[in-house]
Amino acid sequence: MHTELARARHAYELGRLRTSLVRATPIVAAVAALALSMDGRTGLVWLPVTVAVWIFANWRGGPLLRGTYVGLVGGLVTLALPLTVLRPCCSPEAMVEGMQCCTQPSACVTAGALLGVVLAALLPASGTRWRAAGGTALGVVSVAILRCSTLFAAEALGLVGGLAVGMLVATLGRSIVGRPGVVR
Amino acid sequence: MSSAPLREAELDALMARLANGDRAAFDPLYEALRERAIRVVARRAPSAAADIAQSALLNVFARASEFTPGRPCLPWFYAVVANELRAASRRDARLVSVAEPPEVADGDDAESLLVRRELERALDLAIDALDDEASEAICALLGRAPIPDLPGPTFRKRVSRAYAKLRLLLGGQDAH
Repeated sequence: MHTELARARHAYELGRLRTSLVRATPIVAAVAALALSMDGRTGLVWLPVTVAVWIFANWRGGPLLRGTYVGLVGGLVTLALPLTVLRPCCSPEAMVEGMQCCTQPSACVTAGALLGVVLAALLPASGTRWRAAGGTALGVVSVAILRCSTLFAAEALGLVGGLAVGMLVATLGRSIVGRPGVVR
Repeated sequence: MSSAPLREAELDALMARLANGDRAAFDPLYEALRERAIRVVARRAPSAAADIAQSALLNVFARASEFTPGRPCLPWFYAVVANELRAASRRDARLVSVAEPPEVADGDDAESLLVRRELERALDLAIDALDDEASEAICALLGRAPIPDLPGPTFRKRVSRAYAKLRLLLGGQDAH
C-alpha cells in the first residue's frame, strides 16, 4: 500500500511538473517579449530566472501561485518605472543643475520598499499569507530582475532588497494587527 | 479502511484542491479512489484487479493537475479506469491470439458489432459503478433483473435518479 501510494504521489508530482511547463510558457513568452521591446537582447540575460520562478510557482500551486500572479503585476510596475525615478541625479533637471550622473541605490530601495508595502496590502489576511507573500516576492523578482541589465548591481540589489523589506515589514505588521487579542 | 466512504461532493472538492496544488488532499483522495477502482475493476477482471486499478490510479494522479475544479470528479475517474480496463483487455487479447472471433449476424457488419460491444462494455462498467439501489433499478429496466417489489411511483423515482447518475457516469452533462 505504501509503495503504491508513493508511486501515485510520484506520478502526481511529475504530472504537475509537466503541466507547469505548459502553463509557464505563455507568461514567460510575454515577459520576454516585453523585456526585448524595452531593452533589446540584453534584457533577456536574466530570463532563465523568470522561467525557473514560473515553473516552480505553477508546480507548487495554491497560495504561492496566486501570490506570484500578484507579484507579476508589481514586477511590471518596476519595469515601467523610468530611470529618472530610479536614478534621479540623471534626470534632465538634475543635469541642468550640473549634477553628475551617478548610481543612486537609495532611490531604488525607496521605490522597491514602497511597491513592497502596496503589494503586501493585496495579500490575503488568512493563514496562507506567508506563502502568498513568498509567491508575490518571486513574481516580482521574475519580472523585475530583467531590469537588472539596465541598472548597476547596487541599484538592482537595492530595488529587489527594498521590495523584499517593504513586503516583509508590511506583511509582519498585518499579521500582528490581525492576531486575535490585538485591539484594532 | 474503517472510515466511511466519501460522498461525491467531497471527492469533487478534494480533487479540486489537489488540482490547485493542495497536497494535503492527496491521501484521502487516494484512499477513496483506490477503493472505487478496485471495486469496479474486480468485477471485470478479478485476476488482475490490483494491477489494473493501480495503473488506473497512476494515470488519474498524473493527470490530476489538468482536472478542472468545479466539474464532477467521478465521471472523469471512471473514464480513466474504463480506458485502463480496455488497454488491459487489448494486452490480454494480444497474448491469447486464439480467442474466438465474434459471430457476425446477417446484415450486421463487423465494425458496428464491435462498436455495439464497446458500448455494452461501457454501460456494464457504468452500472457496476452505481450504488446498489441504482444498479438494481437500471438492471430491472433493462430486463436483466426482476422488478423490485416497490410501489410504482417509488420505483419510477428510483429509475429516474439511477438514469441521471448513469448519464453522468457515461459522460453526460448534468445529473438532475
